[in-house]
Amino acid sequence: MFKNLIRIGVNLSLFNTTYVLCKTIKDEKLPHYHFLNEQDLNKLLKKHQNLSIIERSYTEHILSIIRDVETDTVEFRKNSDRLIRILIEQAISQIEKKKHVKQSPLGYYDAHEVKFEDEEICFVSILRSGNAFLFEGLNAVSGASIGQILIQRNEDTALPSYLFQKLPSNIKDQQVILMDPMLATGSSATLALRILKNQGVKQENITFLTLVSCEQGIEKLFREFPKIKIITAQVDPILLKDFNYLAPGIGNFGDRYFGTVKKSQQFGQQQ
Amino acid sequence: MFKNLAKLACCLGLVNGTFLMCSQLKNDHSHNKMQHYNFLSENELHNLLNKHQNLSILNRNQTEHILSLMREANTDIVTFRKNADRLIRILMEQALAQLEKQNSVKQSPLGFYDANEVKFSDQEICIVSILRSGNAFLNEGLRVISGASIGQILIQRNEETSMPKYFFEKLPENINEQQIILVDPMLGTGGSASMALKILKNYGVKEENIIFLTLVSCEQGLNKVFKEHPNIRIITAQVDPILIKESNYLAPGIGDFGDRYFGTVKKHTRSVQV
Repeated sequence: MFKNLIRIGVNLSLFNTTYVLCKTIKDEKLPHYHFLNEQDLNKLLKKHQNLSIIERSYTEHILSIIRDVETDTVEFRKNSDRLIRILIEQAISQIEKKKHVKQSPLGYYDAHEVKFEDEEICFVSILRSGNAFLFEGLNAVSGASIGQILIQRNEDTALPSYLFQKLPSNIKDQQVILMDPMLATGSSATLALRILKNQGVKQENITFLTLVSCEQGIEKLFREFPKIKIITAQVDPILLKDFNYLAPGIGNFGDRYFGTVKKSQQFGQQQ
Repeated sequence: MFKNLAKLACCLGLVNGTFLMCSQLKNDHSHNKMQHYNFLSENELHNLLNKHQNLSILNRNQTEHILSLMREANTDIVTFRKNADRLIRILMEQALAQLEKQNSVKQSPLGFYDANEVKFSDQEICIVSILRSGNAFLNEGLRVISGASIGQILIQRNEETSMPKYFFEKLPENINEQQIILVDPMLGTGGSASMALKILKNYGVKEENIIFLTLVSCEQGLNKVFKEHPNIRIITAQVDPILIKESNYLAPGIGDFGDRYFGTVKKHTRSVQV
């Protein structure tokens, strides 16, 4: 009987070791990406005066949940909306303000208010993913007008193709907040900015909001449009060459937010 | 002095008279320019409901206040959006009410009861919006069904020919297994809706699994969609009496819903009738 027990014991430990080995091997297949350190980020901010990166303490919890491949659609949306709201509030805070004197119940004070009416602000979303920003956008600025530009990235060539646009006719007079969740190569954003320029919008009046970006994308945008403002929640360290996806990134934001993720990609690496 | 006063009075009287006449003429004139559209009567609506078994029209009590505000040309954009969202929420709840339910026995703090719950989980419901205007439904749609997947089909109507043109689509890959709620604020000729429904059927979606939501519709559009897709369900807030031939806009209608909701109304057309 003891012999049998020993045999069972040995078999169990063999199973256990193989399992642990396999698990480590499996985990080792996927690379571990480290975020940029404070120094790298400071260099980036010095290089580009019109770039703002939201403070890490605001964003790390939310981004940790959004990046997680196992996060379900509802949690993903809730957290994306929180982060989008933070970005939009930051954008509005950077809009020109005017000063005058107002009266509180106890006395006068110096009031600083955004110089523009709701209607003078235009949210332009780069369809399809950019539309995710509109829900919180309208919650924050209920009277803003909304423009839409449909640009789709060809999955094979990674080149953007323009499909459709609908913008307010007086957009050149407005404060434009352009939105797209990811800034990778920067080619879709560049195309959208050219379209806005054609409509007569001045660079100084454009703020570009993006959740996750990378150095290459930021450089490309500022090279061609040095006077726009860019606000991002985090700058990822790597742009994967073959797929032109950010790493660690979020995956395909549009698919994850709108629930159109193809099942085959769910737990694998990015396409 | 009296003579001067009398002269003044005469002049004033003349000016007043001319003014009255002019405003009278102007009123009559503007009255003739703009039409006054009357809504369908209860009888006509009943006939429509009898003709199409899969058609639901929301109760007038729920919708007349909201639609009155939305139809008005001078309504500002914030009020328009708020009321559109309210009405869209009502339509969404109605759509969910019509989804198949399953019976089970559950326990309240005091005892057992018969529970009837929608048979499908959030993820099995897909809201498909016909861009651009249909996207207005997504705001309230996601509040009600927070886990729903979202599909989008971009169809634009050529302003001159009124023919729908297909641009782009992005649908979940398992859409043939889902309960679809197709959304578009206006149902005019039915051309765009019909095109979207054909695209859904190409993906293998069954008609019985589709509910089409629209704020304002007309008989022609309803007839066309039901003729080509008889087994879908349509829920509308109100059926307008007229589809204007030249422009294919509904009358009294709402105008261009997308432009009004997204704030892209061209300034010179703001208060002109369409």
